[in-house]
Amino acid sequence: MGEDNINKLIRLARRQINIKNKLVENLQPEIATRIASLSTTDKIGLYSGLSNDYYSGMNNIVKITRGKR
Amino acid sequence: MNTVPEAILGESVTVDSELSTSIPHLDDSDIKNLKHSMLLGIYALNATLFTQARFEHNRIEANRKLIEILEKEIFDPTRISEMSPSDKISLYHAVKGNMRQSVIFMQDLHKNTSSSLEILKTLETESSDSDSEKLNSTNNSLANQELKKLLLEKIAEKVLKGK
Repeated sequence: MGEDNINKLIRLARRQINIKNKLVENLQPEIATRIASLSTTDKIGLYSGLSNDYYSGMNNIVKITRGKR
Repeated sequence: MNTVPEAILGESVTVDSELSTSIPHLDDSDIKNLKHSMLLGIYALNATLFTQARFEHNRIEANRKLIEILEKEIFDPTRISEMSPSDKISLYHAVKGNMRQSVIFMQDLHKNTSSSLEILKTLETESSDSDSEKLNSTNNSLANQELKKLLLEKIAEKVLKGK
């Protein structure tokens, strides 16, 4: 696979990354302001989801930093 | 069609001579260009991954803040006592999963750190090995020079005696 093909794929991946990153950046403050109004069940569900996400993010950083994919 | 002798492959095999000529010939400059473009592609990929790592860092930083707000809300003892049994069970599962993930993360981190230390140790050993090799080769060349000098002196002596 030459540079052109790799760069095409990288451009596509970057576009996806940027779109999702903006979405996450916009959603996070909104979630923070609405936590108080959530029901207990929803709070626990959100807590569970965010904790999982937190560790998957940490693991991703370690993997990228180490160069192990 | 060429036939490869049976003695080489264990059985008689016919090879299409057109097949061998249809493979494009790559000369040294083609291979050099290919290597160069592949290297550029790999660098671009690594740069993207590191950008992603920065985004991940920002995301989990914001996540941490959200988790802290939720923990204050959920883990308040008065609130726990007011929770329904099914909420208590869900909370227990969430906390259990969280604890397990934190242990797995710490174990992975420990594994990564120890393997990095191993790499450093190997590099250090290789570096000292190469230093001792350099020293040996310097000693050898000095010994060779001494030997050459001695031989030249002996030859000169013989020549002078001969005269």
